[in-house]
Amino acid sequence: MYGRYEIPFEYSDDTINLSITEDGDFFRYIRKIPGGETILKTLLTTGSAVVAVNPIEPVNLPKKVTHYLEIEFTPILIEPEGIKIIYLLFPIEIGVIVFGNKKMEAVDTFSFCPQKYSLYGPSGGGVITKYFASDIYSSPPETDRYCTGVLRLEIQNKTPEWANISKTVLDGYSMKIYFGPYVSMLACMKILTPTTAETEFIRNPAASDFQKAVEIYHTLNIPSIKRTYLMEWGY
Amino acid sequence: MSDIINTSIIFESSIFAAPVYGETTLGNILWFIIILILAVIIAKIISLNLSRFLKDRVRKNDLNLITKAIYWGIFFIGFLIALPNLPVDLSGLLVAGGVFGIIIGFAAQSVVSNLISGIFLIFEQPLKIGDNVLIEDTLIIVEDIRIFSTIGKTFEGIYVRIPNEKIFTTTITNYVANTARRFEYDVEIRYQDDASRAIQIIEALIENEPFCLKNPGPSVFVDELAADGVMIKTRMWAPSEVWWDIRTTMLWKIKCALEEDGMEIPFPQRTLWLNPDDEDPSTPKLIHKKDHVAEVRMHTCKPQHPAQEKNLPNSIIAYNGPDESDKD
Repeated sequence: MYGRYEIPFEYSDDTINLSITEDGDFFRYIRKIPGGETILKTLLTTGSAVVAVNPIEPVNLPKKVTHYLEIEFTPILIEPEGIKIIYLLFPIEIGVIVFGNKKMEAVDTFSFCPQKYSLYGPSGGGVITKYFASDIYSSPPETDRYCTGVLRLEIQNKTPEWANISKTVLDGYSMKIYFGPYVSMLACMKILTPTTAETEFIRNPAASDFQKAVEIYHTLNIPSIKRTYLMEWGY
Repeated sequence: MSDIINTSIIFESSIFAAPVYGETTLGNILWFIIILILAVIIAKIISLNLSRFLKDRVRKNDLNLITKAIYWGIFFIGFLIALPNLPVDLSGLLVAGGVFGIIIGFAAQSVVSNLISGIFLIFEQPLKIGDNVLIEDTLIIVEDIRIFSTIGKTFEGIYVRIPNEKIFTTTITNYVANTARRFEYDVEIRYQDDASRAIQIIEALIENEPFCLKNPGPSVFVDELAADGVMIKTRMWAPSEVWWDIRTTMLWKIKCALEEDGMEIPFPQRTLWLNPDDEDPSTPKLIHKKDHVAEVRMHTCKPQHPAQEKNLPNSIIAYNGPDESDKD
């Protein structure tokens, strides 16, 4: 399903039917999920538009109320000044993005993964996060590439104490998602103090055969400025 | 340094020192004009920068008002500084101005108070446009924060204007200022229903609702053994942005889920015991079985047709209360 298509196009498998078909002067977008809802939309284009179907930042469904993703896992202890890589799962949202005249727009977003939100920090100053509970793995686990992706998280303990970690919070505005045999993200979490940590995405694919997914959360791309998220309410 | 000396030499030269009107010299007039020009330049710079700073914080109309007030305020100060260069006797003007100032001060007291409050509200930001706030007894959705007043509308869509002074000095309850908020329901089930099963069902329902937050988690517990049933308190958190939608949908989902599992919301009920005289008074007799109670109630709750008026014999006259004449 993932990839770029010229319209009109049609994709169908056991779980989903996606199509953009010509209907007179219009193009009709249809998404059907067996046992689920059917989405119909009309596109007004000359037919030169291109459609990308790929995983997008998983913070949009069921409604955009946040741009943070929180992944909770069984607590792990990391030694003072230690560096360790773990693998976690994250939920996937699939975006159907249309390109025309160098501009893009998400026509549709859907997911096969259950949705849940949480609050990171106090109710008075914390942030709403898209929540996902994951096991921890020492190598990339096998996943359903339409439901969950694999996050390679490098944990760096910069403190002289053991650190107990059970969650990571990531900012959707800097997510770099790649897809290939599975959907992947690479991130780094630096433990700064006993209560604060900093998370940051790494702009690299897990392997050379991975493609970069189209992002719908954009920021100014200034190479020298890294966008990080400071977890100031514990980890 | 040499420029200053040159300037003073120019102004002390005979052309500028010679009086042109009374004791006023050309130099005095020139100083007056220069100070006014400086005041205009300073006023322009300050009002322009203020305008840029407040551009996204204040409405356009209010911004114009503020920048103009600042501009003319600075110009007026410059004018007062420049005025001693001219032979103007301000003593009479000061007396009149003082009296006028007192009158204006009393008249504009509330206006100035609202203005100052408005400026503080803009910087403090206890409420924002779109917030759902309770100001004293008025619950509104904020639509605009102006320099003198705040505009909102009630949930019935009625326009409300509240002076900023009142907002600044009263208690404001902002329902959406925090990221998340909690709400709760009291769910009552019958005594014969399994409360722990009901709690499981409610917890599962909350778990499946995306907007019921994982952290802080929900709290579902038996809160009271009430007169008619077991009261289950259900507390959950939701993002402030969507809490009302969740608040209005979850209760019905809980009710339906409990009913699907065979549980019922209890009606108020009473069990009557009777001691007939002909039997041993120490052994009470149950009139209805417990299951019967609901049936009897259902029967009594049915809408009753009005009783048919009996056909009375001609000799008997139906008495419908005293006549008007009897009352006298």
